[in-house]
Amino acid sequence: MTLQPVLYSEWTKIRSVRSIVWALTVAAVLLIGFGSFACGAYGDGEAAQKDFDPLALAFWGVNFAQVAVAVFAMLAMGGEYDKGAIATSLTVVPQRARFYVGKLLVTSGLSLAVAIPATLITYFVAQGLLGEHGVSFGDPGTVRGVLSLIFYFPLLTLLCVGLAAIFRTLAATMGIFLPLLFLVSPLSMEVPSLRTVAQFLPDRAALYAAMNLHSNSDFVYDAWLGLPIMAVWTAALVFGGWYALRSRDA
Amino acid sequence: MATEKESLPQARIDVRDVTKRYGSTVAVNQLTFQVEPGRVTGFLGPNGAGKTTTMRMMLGLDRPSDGEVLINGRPYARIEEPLRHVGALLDPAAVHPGRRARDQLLVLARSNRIPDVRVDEMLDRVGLSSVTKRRIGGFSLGMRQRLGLAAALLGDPQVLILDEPLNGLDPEGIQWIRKLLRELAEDGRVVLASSHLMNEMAVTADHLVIIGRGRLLADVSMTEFSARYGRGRVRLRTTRPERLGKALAAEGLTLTAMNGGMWEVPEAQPDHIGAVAAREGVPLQELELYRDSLEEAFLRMTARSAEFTAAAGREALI
Repeated sequence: MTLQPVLYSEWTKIRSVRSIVWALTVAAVLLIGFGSFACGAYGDGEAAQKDFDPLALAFWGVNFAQVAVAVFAMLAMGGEYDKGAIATSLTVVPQRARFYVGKLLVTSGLSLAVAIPATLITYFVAQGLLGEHGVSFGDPGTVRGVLSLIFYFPLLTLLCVGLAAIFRTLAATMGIFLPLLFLVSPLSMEVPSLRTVAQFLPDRAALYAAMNLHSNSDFVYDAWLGLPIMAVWTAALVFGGWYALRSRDA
Repeated sequence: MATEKESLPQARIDVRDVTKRYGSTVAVNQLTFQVEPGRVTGFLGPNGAGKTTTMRMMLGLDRPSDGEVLINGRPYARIEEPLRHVGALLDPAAVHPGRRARDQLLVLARSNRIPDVRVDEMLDRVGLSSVTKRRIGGFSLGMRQRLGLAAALLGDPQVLILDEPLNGLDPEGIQWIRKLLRELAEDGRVVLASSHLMNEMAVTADHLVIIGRGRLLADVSMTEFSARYGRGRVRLRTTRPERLGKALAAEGLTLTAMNGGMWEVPEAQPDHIGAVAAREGVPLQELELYRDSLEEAFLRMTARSAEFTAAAGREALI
């Protein structure tokens, strides 16, 4: 009745497919790379602006990294459905709850394991580059921002695994959700009439919490609430995925 | 109530009055049969007869709309570490093409606490030890079948459920699997192998379960099947077919023209025909017995089921 063999198997599954490993690696590289680039190239110019926010500049790379994280999670779960490998997976682990929990734990665990060093490296590199314009952990907004970014990775991973379990095809999951995450959601923030609603979208809420030193007056809620809002979306999709996996033929 | 005695139940598969509906389509219809250990059971039926659906229900992948399937006395989903009890070969294409052969088996083995060394043993047994580091995407269908069989054998299971194991194999591969299935059955295991071709099973199986349109058509030993369905036909050549035809009609037999001046009498024996011809004074230039191939018998049986099912409509008839 132990979960450990399933975790070991799921870990082997991810480790043995290059594209999945790469997606997570790329996420870390994008976060660190774009953050460092932004701070190095535009740090001084941005700091002169009156609405300058060092966290927004340092964590700018998350805009790109989040797509790689989503791809990682979708490949890990959607890949099961792509060629019908789910049948083999559920034949060796017919207890579907155990299979799903194993998948969720391994993917989100890996995501968290990458997010912690990637976020801290990004933070310290950015602080080094911004110098006097940077912030310190003494500022409560900094702690919230760093923690939100770290936990955004595993939460987004769980959300995407849930989505893939609901849609049950890799192509549909990616085709629908990636443009939503990458285009529709950020663009809708630029439309004033949509902004009030769009700020409750999972990625907007999490990024608001991660990339703002202070609460933003464009948002109707406090920045601390960003991550809990993301977590509610995640819970809903994880349960949706579980419902689909439990009730439908594999 | 302390100890539920963990006595090893006799290995077997029990399909009990199973029905599977997809919307208004009935894929499997009140199917009941058992698969016993110690022999190779061929699971036969034309494409679309419901073989794969039935096997997926055995493995808990599809849920029956009615009835139940038990493996060694319990539903598949309740078996802990099922690879140690049941080995399955389903669609050999259902693997991640980017994964290496050995990694694929490691994924499966580790989920059931089967030691890694067993993976290498099985790769060796199926003849894939030279390609363990190759990605499965580059494998031929035959190699994928072998990999699938290695996966099925990982846990040294007592029950084997193999969907079309001979599909896509070259003659040498077919020989090899036949030998393997025989060995597994002789060890006292339950071996169920599906096929849509009678000829594949005729020399492989000891027992046949034949279905058509989701219904059971026959559950017989191979010997019994050939005796019952491998009907004889007499082919002959004669200069006076009209007279012979009339005489045979009186005996309840029919003479049909074939091409090349040959005539045929279905379901007859040559000595009987010869006696009739002699009595009527009909000269025969040739007289020969043909046995229907089992493939023809199988086709006849399943074709009849198709017509019969169509005629019977939704009415259940057993």
